[in-house]
Formats: sequence, structure tokens, C-alpha cells
Amino acid sequence: MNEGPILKVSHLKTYFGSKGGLFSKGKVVKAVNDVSFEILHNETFGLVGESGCGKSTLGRTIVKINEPTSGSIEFEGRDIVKMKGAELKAFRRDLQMIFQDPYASLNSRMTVGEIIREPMEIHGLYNSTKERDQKVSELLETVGLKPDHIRRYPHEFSGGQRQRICIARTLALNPKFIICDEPISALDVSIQAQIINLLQRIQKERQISYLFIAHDLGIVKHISHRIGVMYLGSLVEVGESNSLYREPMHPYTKALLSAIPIPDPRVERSKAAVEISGELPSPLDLPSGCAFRTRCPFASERCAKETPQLRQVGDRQVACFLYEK
Amino acid sequence: MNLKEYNKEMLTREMFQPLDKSEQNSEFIAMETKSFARDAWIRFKRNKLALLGLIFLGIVVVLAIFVPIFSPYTYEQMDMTALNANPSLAHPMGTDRFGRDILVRVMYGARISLSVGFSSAAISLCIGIMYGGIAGYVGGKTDMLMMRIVDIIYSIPSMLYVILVMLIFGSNIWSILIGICISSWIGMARLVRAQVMSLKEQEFALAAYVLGASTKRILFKHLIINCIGPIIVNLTLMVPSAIFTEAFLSFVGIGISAPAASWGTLANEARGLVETYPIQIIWPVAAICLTMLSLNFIGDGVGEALDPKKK
Amino acid sequence: MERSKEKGMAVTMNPESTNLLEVKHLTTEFETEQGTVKAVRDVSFTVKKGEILGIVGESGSGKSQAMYSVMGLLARNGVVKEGSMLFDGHDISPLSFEGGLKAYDKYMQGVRGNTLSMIFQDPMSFLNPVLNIETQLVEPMLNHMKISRKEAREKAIELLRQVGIPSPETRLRQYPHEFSGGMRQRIIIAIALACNPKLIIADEPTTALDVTIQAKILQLIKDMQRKSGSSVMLITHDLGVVANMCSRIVIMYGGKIVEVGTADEIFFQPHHPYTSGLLACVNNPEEEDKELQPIPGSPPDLLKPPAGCPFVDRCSCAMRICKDYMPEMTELSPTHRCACWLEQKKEVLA
Repeated sequence: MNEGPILKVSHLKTYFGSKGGLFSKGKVVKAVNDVSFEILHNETFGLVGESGCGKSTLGRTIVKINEPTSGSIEFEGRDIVKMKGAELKAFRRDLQMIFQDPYASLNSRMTVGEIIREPMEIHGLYNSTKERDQKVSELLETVGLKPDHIRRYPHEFSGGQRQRICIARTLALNPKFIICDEPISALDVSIQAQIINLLQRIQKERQISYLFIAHDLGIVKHISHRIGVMYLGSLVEVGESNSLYREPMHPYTKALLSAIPIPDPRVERSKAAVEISGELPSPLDLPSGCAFRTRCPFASERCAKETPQLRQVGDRQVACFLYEK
Repeated sequence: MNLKEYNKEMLTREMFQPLDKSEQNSEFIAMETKSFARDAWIRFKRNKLALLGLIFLGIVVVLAIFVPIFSPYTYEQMDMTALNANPSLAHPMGTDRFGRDILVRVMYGARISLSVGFSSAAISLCIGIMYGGIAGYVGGKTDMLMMRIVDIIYSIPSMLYVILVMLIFGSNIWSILIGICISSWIGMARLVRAQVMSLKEQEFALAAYVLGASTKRILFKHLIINCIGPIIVNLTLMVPSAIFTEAFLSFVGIGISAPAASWGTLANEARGLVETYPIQIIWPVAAICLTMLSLNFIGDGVGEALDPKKK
Repeated sequence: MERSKEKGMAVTMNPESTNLLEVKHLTTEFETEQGTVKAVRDVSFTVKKGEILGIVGESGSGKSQAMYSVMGLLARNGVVKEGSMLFDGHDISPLSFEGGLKAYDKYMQGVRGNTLSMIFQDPMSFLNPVLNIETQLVEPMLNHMKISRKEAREKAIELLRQVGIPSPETRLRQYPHEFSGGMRQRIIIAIALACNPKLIIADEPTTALDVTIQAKILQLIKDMQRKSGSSVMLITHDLGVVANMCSRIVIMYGGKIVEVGTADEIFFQPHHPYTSGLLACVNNPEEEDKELQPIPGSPPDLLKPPAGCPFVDRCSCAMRICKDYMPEMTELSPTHRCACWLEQKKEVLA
């Protein structure tokens, strides 16, 4: 096993410019606002937050779909922000991504065989088409589909089957790290478990690290070793998943946890809801200080003046003044 | 209902034995697998008018190729013994005032009209896809610049280009073709650009990017191929408009010059005799009308076949 | 598509009935290019007065199409082939409606938005973007109730206050785009409640919302139901959502109802392998981490559904009989019914 983290993100900022109109000034959306974290080899790091909190942008910045405004991303000790050309192409083999919408992430004009063969063609893996087809069949079986599905088109498959095709496509490159951007939120309940189990099995067999992005804390807790909670572009809490679930510290994590519907009427009836008031502020207009203070039941004057930083409290990191002396 | 009826007595122990795993087919797909093109062709065939149009156009193409080859007459050969003849076995469409066989001339005109229509569409297709694809995919300042150039070209009426080119290179089929192509690719370029811009944000394009695909591969194998529907629909509209432009120019006398024949020139020549020999103008006009009609039916059919939701 | 009148089932009129909606043997089919999709196959259920009924199923289970059949809102290629529907003592089945289809369409227009109202998944597609909230709230009241515009406006303000929209007087003048997703769904609920409906059909009302908002909207639907005493049909794919909301739950799979029961019966004594499979594959974060038990395979293709039980290809206890014969509903308790051959197994093997 290699020493050190496989992925190290430090002070990453991704801003989007919003063009100003004729009479208004352009504003900046701080989609990812100074985020730092590390992911170890063979680890699953869960990233949760509501829509618009920047979790997907963070994932997309790591695979270089979005350009970071500042900060560094190190993959196995190499900075990938400045990577170009052949080096970048080689890096792509190690770091892959699974997207949210299995209906949109497959090219509908290509057959399943062509889709899974494509990454091998791009990177010149294997020598002949025959060898590649052999590999495609193997991959289809790995994800629980049949080799005779190879000539079918994506629209003939159900959502879960398509997501498995997407997984097979990323596995064609044998990556060391996969970013899963809400891979199950568009799927049916009985299919979600299939995908989760498949991802876990693959991790065991191939020693892959995951960055697992989702809005559902329940699922993230199940699959992740550690969890980061994001709110309006910043990480507010990072910790080991079971402990974070049992004793959430940041008020936002608490609210998020209490909102998960539990499939058990007894638990649901006895559950005390942690109320957070209002709705997500516009990311164009972040509140001063702590971004969560407008909805936080414990907000004080200090929260408006200073921005809390992530700091070690017990077994985890929290960005909240409640845990400072 | 495909449920089988049963009654209590029928139930046997045998029936309650566990089902063999091999009999369970949980990844069953009932839908027949069909490629996009096959699927579209099946839908196209269902549209009878479009199919009729396609058959008619096919016949015209075949005749345009073979009639001038096998006919005993050439398009400029005059038969002084049969001036302004009525249709007969020797001249199925009759002859004109110089005794030239109208059938051969109409078919020769079909060669010119159809080749102008199809080649200008093909040229516009190539330029439009490249230009629009690059502008849409690269975006930003490049896109800005490329689109302003397009605006400038578009700001001059297309007929003016044709007339200018013909002034310089003379009135022949090549200058008409060039003249039409100068501006006709712009519609295609704008269409492709808009499609590419919206498709490049979709996850399949992002996935290809993350897999490490080159720009060329993403643009052609993923983006362009997915806007093939609107492109083909646009193409089916481009062919008739080019044919029309050529016919119009020839008709007003600045297109193909005599003795070469296009449908426009034929109509123009027969114009003077419309009161004495009306049959002579009917042939070229019918050829233009029917070809236009079938092209439009085909366009409709293709549009429906490629985009079944839009009706 | 033949719509013969005789095909409709005989309807028993019972004014004393506690059933608000009775659906019997509903079968709905869609004509597509690939063939006939049998979306709903012989579905019967009832909604009692003043209850929240949960209908749980995955995509393609026919849950939404069954509801659209009831509301008369099927897409153009969809047809109710069989079945009777009785809403509040009135026959609302398109097959046997007195006066034919035209009269049916007209009658349903009067019912929808009035005694039968709906909440949809995507609030933005339901709200008209160019009309302000006031118009959209007041219009249905003026159409369906005998009140003046002023009264309607007062009622609209009151409704907005009830669904938790601050300063309703000023918000009334605003347009849909000025509200957030959660607020829009609140407005939809206010519109649904405007004419004091007897039944509210909510089709995945929280799927498009964030978890923190979802919890609040669900609570709101529950509170409003309690206050108004109307019945609610909650259609969802999420067992977690119905756990706390519904008194009774219907589980649908492959266009059929496989199990019906009270919330406790469904969650604690599930009989159908699909129900128990669904419960086993949902991660309950309250429990210690164990491996999820997914149901293998994919839902049946309704172009060619299995001749017998729709679940046969994915079921871990499938028997030979399941492949060819559809099991009947077996009554397990007065409230609990299940369609599975396992229920007959003991009897036959004994």
C-alpha cells in the first residue's frame, strides 16, 4: 500500500462569473469556497449536502470539467490543476467519474459494446478488437449484465441497467479512484441497493477509492468510511461516518440528519425534528461570516462577523463557533 | 388478458416446487433492438406521401441519368423536320421550336437542377458542420468571432452573391453552385452550433471528456452524431431551395445559358409560345413542381421519422 | 379502441359507505410503436374517508398511470380497458359513464380541482409562469364555488398563511419564478386545498425537493389533511416517506397490486417477497451497518409482462406455478391482503 492520501484537495475555490446586465454589476457564484480534504487509498469519502451546495461542482473540478479559481488538487502527490497533454491523458486512466443521470450519460447512438470499448480505444489498451470485445463481455458480466446485451442500444435498458453500463465503462480503464456524482439518486429503491453493493464489491476486488457525492445522508453513511457535509460551497463538518451519524456536531448536520425519512413507522413517530428555518440563500449573495447563520437556531453575533474555519474537535473537524472556547 | 384460468383442484404439489434459477430471466428486455437509422426508416415508411415522394425522386434521378444516354437525340440536336411537334412515339414529350427533343432536354435539365440541389446541400453540410461544430464546442471568444463573421456574410442577400459570382466567372453551373454555397451553409452552421452548445453540457459528452477523448472524437463521435436528426431535416429543406434558386435565375435569363438546358431555361424558352404550344411549358413546370413537392414530402417524413415526438 | 358500455362492472351505490373512492378491476393500456404497454392490470383498491393512503411502487409499476386513469388525465395513447371507478357515490369510469365520453370529460373537468385535487411532482410545470399567484389561486375558487372575488381573495390569503408562506398579502401579487422550490410546492398545496376537496392525489410531491424541505412539506400535507378531514392518496417510490404519513399502504409492482395493509402490517409483517425485499434493500441508517440485500435484476418489461406473477423473475422464493398463473389476493387479516402463491403453499402441500 502506498503511504499518504491518494487525493489531497487544499483551499480549492471554484467561482463562476455571472454576467452583469446593462445596469447591474456582474456577480460571482462561489460554488466551491475554500475546501480542503484528503482521501486515503481504498477509502470511500462521502460528500453530502442539498442541491446547490457545490458538491457536484467540487467533483467536476477534480476531474477538470470545471477550472478551479485557486487552490491545489494533488493526485498521488502530483498537482493536477496544471496538467496538460499526455500527462493529463495518462492521469485520466487513474481517475474516473460516474454521473448522476444514467439516461443522459450514455451516447444514445452507440451500442453498449461501442460505449464500453471506447475508453480502451482512446487509451490504446489491448491490441485487437477481438481482445477488446472479450474484455467488454467480461466487464458486462462483472456488472451483472449479459454478454449478448453488447449489441443493444442504451434506450432499451432500464435506469439501473444503464448505470451498470456506466460503471462498466469506467472500469474498462482500471482506475484507482472513481468520483460517483449522485450515482443512485435517479434510480428506484430496489435498484439503488444493487448499485451500492456493486460499488462496494468492486472496491473490495480492485482497491478503488471513491468520492461518493449524494444528498441522501442515509445511503452515504452506509457506503462511506468518512463523510464531509457541505453547505453553500464550504465543508462544515468532516468525520468518521458512524460517529458523525450518531453524534452530529454542526447544527446543519443535525438538521440534515433529522430530515431523513426512516423506513420504520416506530422510529418516525418518535422522531423529534430539528427545525431549521427558511430556505437556502442564493449563492450569488452569501451571508457574511458563517453561511449557515441565517437558518441556524444557535446563531450569535460572532457568526455574522467572522467565518468559522474547520478545526479538529474530538474525532472530527467542525466549522462552528459553538465548539470553540 | 394473458392470464390463464385455474381452479383449486388443479393445484398440485408439483406446481409448488421451487422454480429453477435458470428459468428466471430478470434482465429480460422485450424490446427488439433497432439502430437509430433502422428505427427512423420504419417510421419513414409509414408516411405514405413521403414514400411516394422518395419513389418519384428516385425515378427522376434514374431517368435523368439514363434517358440522355440511351436516347437517339442529344439535348442540342435539332430536327428541322419536326418543329414544335406534339408528343409522339419518336418524341414522347414533343419538340421545341428548334425541333429539339423535349424529353431529353427536360431530363438534361433534371441533371443540372438535381446536381445543383444536392451538391450545394452537400457542400453546405460539410462547411456548416465544421464551422458550427467548432464554434459551438470551443465557445467563448472564438465563438463570438466566428458568429460575427457569419452575421456579416448573412447581411448581404444571397441572390446578390450568385449574380456577382456569375458576373465574374460567367454563367455556368459552377458559378451558380459557388454563388449558392457562399451563403447557404450559414443556416446549417447556426443550427449545428446551437445543438452542439446544448449537447456539450450533457453528461455523455462530459463522460467522454473525462475518459480522455480528444476534441475531434467528442465533436464527431458524440456531439455531431447526436444532432444528426435536425441536420438531416435542415438538409431536406436546403435541396429544394437551391433547386429553386437555380430555376429562378435561369428563368429570368441570368442562369444557365443556351443551348444547355435547365428547367428554368426550358420554361423561359417555352414562355413565348405559351399561347400557341402550351404543352411545351407544362413539361418543365411540372418537373419543377413535382420535384419540389416530393422533396417537401420527404422533408416532412424525415422530420417525423427522426423526431417522433414532434408532430 | 372499443369502448363498449356493457363492459363496465355493475356498481353498487351505497351512500352510507365509508369509502370515498372505489376502484375495481382497473386495466389501462398504452399503444406505443413497440406494441401495447399493459401499464395497469386489474387493479382494485379503495380510499376511505379521512385517511392517507400510500401507494408505493417503483417507476413502471403503474402507480401513476392508475391515478391518471382515475382522474381522467391519461395521455392520448392511453385507454382504460376495463374497470369501474366510484368517487363519492358517483360513477366516474369512462367506460360506463352515462352520456358517453364527452359527458365524462365535461364531468371530470368539474370534479378536478374541485372535490378531487392534485399535487404534482414538479411544481413549476403546474404553475403558469405568466400569471401571478393570486390569479392561480382565486380562479379555481371562482369556477367551482359560489363566492365573490373579494371573498376568494381573502380565502387565498388565509390559505397561503396556513401553508406557511410569510406575508401572504404581498406574496399574492408575485409570480411563480419569485418563489423557491419548496415555496412553490406550498403554493400548489394551497391551490389543491382551495375548493375544500374530498380527495387530494399527491403524485411524488417531494421527489424534486431537498431532504430538509421534504420533511417540512410532508408535515404540512399531514397537518392540512388532519385539519380539513379530506382524504389523501400519496403516490411515492420511497418507503421512508410513507412510514410516518399513511394509515394504509398499497404496494404495486409490474402494473399490479401485490400487497395491501396498514403501515404496521406492511413494515413489520410483510408477506409478499417483493415487499420484504423492498424493506431489506432500503438502508435503515438507525441500524448498524449490514450488507444491503438488493432485489436482483430489473423490473418487468410491460410490453411483455410475465404470464403469472410479475415478480417471478426476481423473486427468491419463486415456484413453478408462479411463472404461469397469477396468484389471487388472499386475505390475511381484515386489513391485510397479499397476492402470492406462498400463501396457498401450505394448504396444497398439507
